[in-house]
Amino acid sequence: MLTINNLSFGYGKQQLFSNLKLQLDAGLHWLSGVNGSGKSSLLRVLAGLDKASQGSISFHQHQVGSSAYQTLVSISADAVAPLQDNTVLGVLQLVARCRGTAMEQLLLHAKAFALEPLLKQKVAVLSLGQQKKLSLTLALAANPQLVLLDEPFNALDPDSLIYCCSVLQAAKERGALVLIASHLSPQSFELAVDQHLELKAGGHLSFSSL
Amino acid sequence: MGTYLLVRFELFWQQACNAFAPLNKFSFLFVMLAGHALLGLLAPLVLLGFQLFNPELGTVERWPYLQMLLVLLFCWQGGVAWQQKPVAQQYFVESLAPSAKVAGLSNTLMAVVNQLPFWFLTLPAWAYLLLSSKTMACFDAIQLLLVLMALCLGFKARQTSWLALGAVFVVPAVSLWSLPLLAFMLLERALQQQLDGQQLSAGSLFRYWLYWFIRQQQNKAMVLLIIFVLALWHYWLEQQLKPEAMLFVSSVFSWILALLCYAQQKLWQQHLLAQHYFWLALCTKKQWVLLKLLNVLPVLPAIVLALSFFDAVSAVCTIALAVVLSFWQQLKLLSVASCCFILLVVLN
Repeated sequence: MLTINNLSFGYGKQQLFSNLKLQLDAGLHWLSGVNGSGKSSLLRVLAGLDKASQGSISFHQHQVGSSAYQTLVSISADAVAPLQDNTVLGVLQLVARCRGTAMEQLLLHAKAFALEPLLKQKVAVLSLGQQKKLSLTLALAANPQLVLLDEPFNALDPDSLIYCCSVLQAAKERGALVLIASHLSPQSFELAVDQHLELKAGGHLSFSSL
Repeated sequence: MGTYLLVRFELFWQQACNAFAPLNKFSFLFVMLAGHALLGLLAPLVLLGFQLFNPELGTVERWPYLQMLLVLLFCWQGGVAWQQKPVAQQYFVESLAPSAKVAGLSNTLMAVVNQLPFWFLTLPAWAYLLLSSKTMACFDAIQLLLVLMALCLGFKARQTSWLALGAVFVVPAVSLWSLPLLAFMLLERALQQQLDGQQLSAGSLFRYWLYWFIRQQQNKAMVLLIIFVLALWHYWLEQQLKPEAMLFVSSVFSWILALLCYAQQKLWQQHLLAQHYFWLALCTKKQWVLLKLLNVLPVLPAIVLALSFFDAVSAVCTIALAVVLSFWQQLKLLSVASCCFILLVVLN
């Protein structure tokens, strides 16, 4: 279970959300909200990349930032960009080394996302969609328990979209918590979403019916 | 944790190699020449050290050397910015960390590694000044430490203050030299905060270039290097050298100045290339040509400096080299030709 308690975060004087409280069980959760409502920032805070000004986050009793927590979490977002001056294969190897993910697993996802012919290409020359696929490969290959995805379906071709949805569905079935931040409607995709959250300006969360 | 720290160091090394990748385009001969230039720089550096710590010299006589040391300090301080990654890629690297503590620790370690040349240059000088029996030297050491602390702790992203850099050259030989430096640094920081979020509009293309030039940390380092090279040149001028040696030193400094201008101009080109389509979409064809012509602007300081400080032959050589380097793409061929040219100058 992901527990967020009294979470506050902002940039300088601009407070994005304050005293946010939330509890999420395993399953597929859809987080929507208008541009600038703080969806991406919330995901980065949950991934431990940005530090909240106050409040606490725990997943399966592990506090954010601890090594136990970081092992369970993975994030895919445009704001978390793989190193541009490395090759696709180089980035896959880097992630395999750091996170202990099997290289076969990473290559399997890369193949499914049609990235195999691009392994020796530099990340910088990949198209927007290809970069998105690489980011998803890196996030999904380790089979994490807490998957944070920021606009994962943007720029994906139909085949990749179908594959991505199937992987997310499989993650849900193995008991993972998947949080997808998107301004699109969850009904547009073949996903059995459990909960729809809407983040409003000022950091108020509401739960919409599906 | 060990694996992650090793990876961070590998990435640091890779980034350092990439930053110097343009050097690979230079031919072997050119690298040889650069080596000679480096030797030409090292010798005065050693002398600078001796003069700075020379107990025979009075306080006022030591001032120019202290100024040079301060310029070097600011150079390194400004130069570390080239190691910084874009925010998104920094997030990616941090997302691979086994824990937040390790991410924080590795960031600190990388910042220290980034600044190694800076500390290498400063701490011995500081220790010497402090341990020296002279009261004035101890006083200098304390002030140096004060400026260092303000640079490292007060400025985010290790920014160097333009105003403080100017102050290095305008502060008279006063005992409390650190005070005007710190005052200028604080003033610039306050101005930066005031202007934060109120981006200067491009207005004209020249103003846009100027805006880019001032904001780029590398440019600051580059300008400082040019000033430093000129300071060294003057230092050499004061030595009673043989005319042949003087010619060699002069040609080496001409080369360094021209190369620095070339490197600065490359930075602008890279910036322009990264926003190629944006500018194409925004500008008329005439404006686009004008924007590309701004490439030559970095050569202007070289021309001004060369004409002001060098003798006629050196000035002409510097201007010619800076202009040719700015326009010529085939550096390999050019470097061979330039080496022949330099050899001819030296042999004559």
